[in-house]
Amino acid sequence: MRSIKEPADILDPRHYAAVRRPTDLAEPLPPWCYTSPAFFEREREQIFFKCWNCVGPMSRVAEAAGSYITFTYVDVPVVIVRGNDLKLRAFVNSCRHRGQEVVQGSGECKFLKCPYHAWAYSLEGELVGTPLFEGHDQFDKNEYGLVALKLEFWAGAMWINFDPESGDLLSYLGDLPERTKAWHAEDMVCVSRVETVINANWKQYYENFSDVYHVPFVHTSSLPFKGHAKREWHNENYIGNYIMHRVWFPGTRSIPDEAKPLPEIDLTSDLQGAFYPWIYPNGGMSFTNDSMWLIELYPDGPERTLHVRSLMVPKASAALPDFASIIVNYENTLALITSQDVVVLESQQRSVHSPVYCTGRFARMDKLVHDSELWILDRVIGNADGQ
Amino acid sequence: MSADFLITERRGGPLLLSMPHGGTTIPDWLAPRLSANGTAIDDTDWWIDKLYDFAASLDATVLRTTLSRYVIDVNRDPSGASLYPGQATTELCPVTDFDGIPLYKDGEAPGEAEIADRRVRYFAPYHAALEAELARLKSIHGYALLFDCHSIRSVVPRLFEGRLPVFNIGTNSGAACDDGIAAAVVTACAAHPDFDYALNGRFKGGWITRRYGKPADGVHAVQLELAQLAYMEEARPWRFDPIKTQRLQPTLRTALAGMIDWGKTHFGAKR
Repeated sequence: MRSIKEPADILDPRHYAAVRRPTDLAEPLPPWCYTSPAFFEREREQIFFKCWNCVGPMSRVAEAAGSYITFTYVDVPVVIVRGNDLKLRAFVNSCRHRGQEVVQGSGECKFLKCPYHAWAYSLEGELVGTPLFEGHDQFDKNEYGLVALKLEFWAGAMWINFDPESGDLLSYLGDLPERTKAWHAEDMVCVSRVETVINANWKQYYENFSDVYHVPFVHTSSLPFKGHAKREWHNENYIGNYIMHRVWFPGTRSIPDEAKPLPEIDLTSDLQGAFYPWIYPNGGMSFTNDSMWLIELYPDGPERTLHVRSLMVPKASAALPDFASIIVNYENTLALITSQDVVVLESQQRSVHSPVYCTGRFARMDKLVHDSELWILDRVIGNADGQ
Repeated sequence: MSADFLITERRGGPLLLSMPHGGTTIPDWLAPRLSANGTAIDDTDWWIDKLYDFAASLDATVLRTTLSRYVIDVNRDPSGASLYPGQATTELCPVTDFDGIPLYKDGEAPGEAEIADRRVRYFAPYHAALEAELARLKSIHGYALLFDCHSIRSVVPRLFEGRLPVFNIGTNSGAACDDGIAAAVVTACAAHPDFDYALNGRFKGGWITRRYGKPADGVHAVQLELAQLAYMEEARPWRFDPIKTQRLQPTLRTALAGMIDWGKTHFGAKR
């Protein structure tokens, strides 16, 4: 019986030669790519530490100076805090003394004060308080501010980059902002945010997002066809670090037929249906006729992923008197879609552990899944073709 | 010597809280000579006795004056020498407020003879009482701990740049107390989740801290100049804020308890 085991030389391009064939001949990624700590470590260095990562709507941090949120991203504790100038800044949430997480959870503060030895940092990250540390003439506070992370904004969302040498976010996104500008996502409000732990490698979700093949089978009850006629897939005309597919259908398919929809966004007829860009590596979006939802993935080791979905709507829609009764149908549909995905993704993850599992082939409809895997390989293994 | 403007809550523990600037009384003979700013007494250490109303639970003695600092400032060098040479400050018998606005009507400011008289009538009794209480505590414990309680608006451009830290701890640059006592107060203040502190920053301790804080003589003194925003509204009518106070008092209590613990550790409990 043929079996595929994780090789010792996991970064040897020859192990991935079959993935690099044309889609009709290619095989999906070998199973260890979804289970191996070594492969995940390489992804962290080559992908998550070098790319722009989506960390949710700007509204996660309240408007007042000193408002902050914390989270862990690929094992790095991060704090985003609003300064006295009301600007948002991101820092590694580790005290420069001996590494304690400086603040926990979210809230509002005057200083970022470490609970361990009360080292205090200004809202702008400067070290301002080192109690009982007076007289240490070999120590310059100015050199021990919190480590800053790049933080930029697009579509009302925050994006961080661990690489100080990286380019700017808008260059990274390429033509995506132009393609989606009609939605004015930056003016939308986040009306809900739902966290789901998926016991699967982050790429299971990442690939699933661009997998249009599974939709009629997995989402039969949540995303009925409603007469959508065609799809458009990412092609060479799309420029930027994202992969997008588009589905044509009239109106919305986020609610039952009889339910009242949100007011439509003022979009030209050529923008009908829904646009689903996945922004490498961890951010997914859906631009529809009445709303936008945003996915963030927080990989937690090779086999666990926190999935967070934020639902964004125009301010005017959120202000409708019957908004609560309208949006609940959208929420229910999105919750059902996610739960259906979780079932298959966790099953998929269990299966890649099988000692006799062998990879298969891609269907034509899997084109974007294949492209997504090649994007990973280009960064984790490099562009070599293995010959 | 006793004087009706002095209030002493005498207790047996080694700690004495001195409140030289909490008084709000302007004597009848002085009031007609003061400007509107003079009678407004904006520079008062407002509600300072209320802020430390837990003193009894620490068995601490409290000494305070009901007279306004505008009559005479018992925390200034009676010779008239500045506490902070080269920096703006206010005088023994101040003629301007913190903002530099005159406290007296034209021609009504006190002359040298009047200042000398106020020293005898109002300055000396405070210090006589303070010395007597410190001597009493030393006779019981062999040492005394003096904590001089102050508060000030967090922004006073004439006196300091920008916004003052909330806890301004003064130990006469380390001379007024043992390092362990300063550490106890710093630790308590630094641990407050929202507030900042400075040790011997803009405020290093006034005349009281400098004069009585002499560890070799068994008296350890600390001044705490609090930014008023931590417990009250920093503008007229200077409202006390019980909610803010609730959040601040545990830190003050921890600081004072830390001083007392230090004393017990170094000198042993005497009673």
